[in-house]
Amino acid sequence: MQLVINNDTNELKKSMDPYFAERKSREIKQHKVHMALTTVVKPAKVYEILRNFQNFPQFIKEVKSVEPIRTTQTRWRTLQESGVSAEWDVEVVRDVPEKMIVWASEQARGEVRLIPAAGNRGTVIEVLLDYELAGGAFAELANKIFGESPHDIVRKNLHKLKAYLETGEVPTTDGQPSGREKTSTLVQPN
Amino acid sequence: MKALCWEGKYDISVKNVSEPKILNPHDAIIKVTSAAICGSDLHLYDGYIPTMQAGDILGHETMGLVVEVGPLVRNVKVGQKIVVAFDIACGSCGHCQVEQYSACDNTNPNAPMAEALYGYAGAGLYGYSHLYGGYAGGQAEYLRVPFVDTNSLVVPEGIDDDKVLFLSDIFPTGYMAAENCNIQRGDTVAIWGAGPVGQMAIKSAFLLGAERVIAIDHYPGRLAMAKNNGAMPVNYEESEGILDEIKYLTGGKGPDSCIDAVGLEAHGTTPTAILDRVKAAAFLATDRIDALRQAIQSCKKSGTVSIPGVYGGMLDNVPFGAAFGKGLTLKMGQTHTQKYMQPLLKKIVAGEVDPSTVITHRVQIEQGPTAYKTFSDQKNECIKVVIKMVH
Repeated sequence: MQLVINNDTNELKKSMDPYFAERKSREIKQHKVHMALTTVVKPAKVYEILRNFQNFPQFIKEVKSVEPIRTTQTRWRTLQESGVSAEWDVEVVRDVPEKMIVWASEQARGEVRLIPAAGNRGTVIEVLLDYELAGGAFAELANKIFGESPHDIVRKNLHKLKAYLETGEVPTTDGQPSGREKTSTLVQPN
Repeated sequence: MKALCWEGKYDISVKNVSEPKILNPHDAIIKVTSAAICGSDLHLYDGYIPTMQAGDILGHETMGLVVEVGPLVRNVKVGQKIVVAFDIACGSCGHCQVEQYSACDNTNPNAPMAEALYGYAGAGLYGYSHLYGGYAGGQAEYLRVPFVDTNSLVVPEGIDDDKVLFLSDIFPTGYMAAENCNIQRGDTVAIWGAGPVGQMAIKSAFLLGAERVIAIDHYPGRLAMAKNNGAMPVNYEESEGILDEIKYLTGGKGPDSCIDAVGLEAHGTTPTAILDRVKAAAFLATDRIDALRQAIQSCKKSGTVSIPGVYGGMLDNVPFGAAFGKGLTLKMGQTHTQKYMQPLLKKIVAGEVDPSTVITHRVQIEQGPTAYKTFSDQKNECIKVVIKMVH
């Protein structure tokens, strides 16, 4: 029988850490958006996909392009279904391969942590996001672009990221037939 | 193509709509040959399942010929005939890896909506509300099948559609319900609801070693079919007291396990059942649950209550004290269809079981709206409707 004991001693230490829950609840209080999602994909691959920002348009359809400006700086262009477009620069302020990416833009600051899931079962992706820096402007902007709160956006896109990581596609129903199509016609029952 | 669309409560239409396209690399398109109407489709018809939208294409029991596959489809080939599992699974997430397909993490594009209601989102389903992903269903001439390698079973040549169609849902559902009962040789299993899933559960309980199966319903036609399948029929409308009767039938100890194959629209004439109906009509409660109450109340000490019947919302007056007091095990949920398709196909091919005996009606898609009405209004005569596509 395989016992679920991880060789990674840090992992063992973490799960036995009596202050773990306390730290997490502090983070919840300190950050506007805090979210965690677990994927079966290992941290190295999650990091590789995430750190290569040009991948983002493949799983978030509102992101149209991500252009490198400098090593740590990228320009993001988004386009909402309603036609509203936006553009902003993102600076990576801390980058620990396979573990952490911290970024900042004019309106927001975000942190993504990759933690090996207990029992070597993949990766816990933790996202912390703050946008009070510009007096809620980011929230307004996000709402304008996506029509949703930053919390909803992170949640929705974390799901998409997970699906993309695990399956290589983002499940969708956009473009499927329905009786709501303008061209649909009623068939008289016989 | 022609498709059956949900337009509102008691309102189904046949519409000409566009044909589905490959939207993702693991998709396939099938030309549907047979599609069934499920008892759970009646929950939609009756307006019990939230987040349906007018124009949604119905149907989650479907099979057909593969006419197109996406670039990343590995096993399924154009020209093959496949049965499609009603729950859509990605095949790669943590749940799919351990064959908990209906708990798939990735296939519900509306996961945040389901999370808000249930805590976490389950797999997407065909034609079963936007809460479950809003996927177009298979009561149509063509169907898009996401992750087709995971979600389909290739049918060996020479087998009639009717024999294998129910591998898409009700046979695995009845089988998982019986498997969840942890049946020991010699057990007595009581099953509420002698509809299609109930009939499959009867067959499955015997396959798994049950000695006696008691079927509880109030439609003589359905009870007669249950009797044909080997069960002991009990008509609760003719009973002096259903709980007392089941106790007496089981030598005073209760069934070893109970299956609620009715779900959220239980009929029934007990005071609690009537109260449920009043509350549901006034939107004070969402689900009518008398079958579940009886199953919990009847079950022997340390027994199992298995629930394949669909529930959607809040339940009132659940005898939780009885469940606790007797130390019951409750098992429930959408079926992990993909896990059961291949092994159950073997049983069909070997002649151990023939699911097609539940079919009472075969119709064409143009008769779909009438078939829904018949299925809803004439439960005694109409047990299972199969739509035969004429292309």
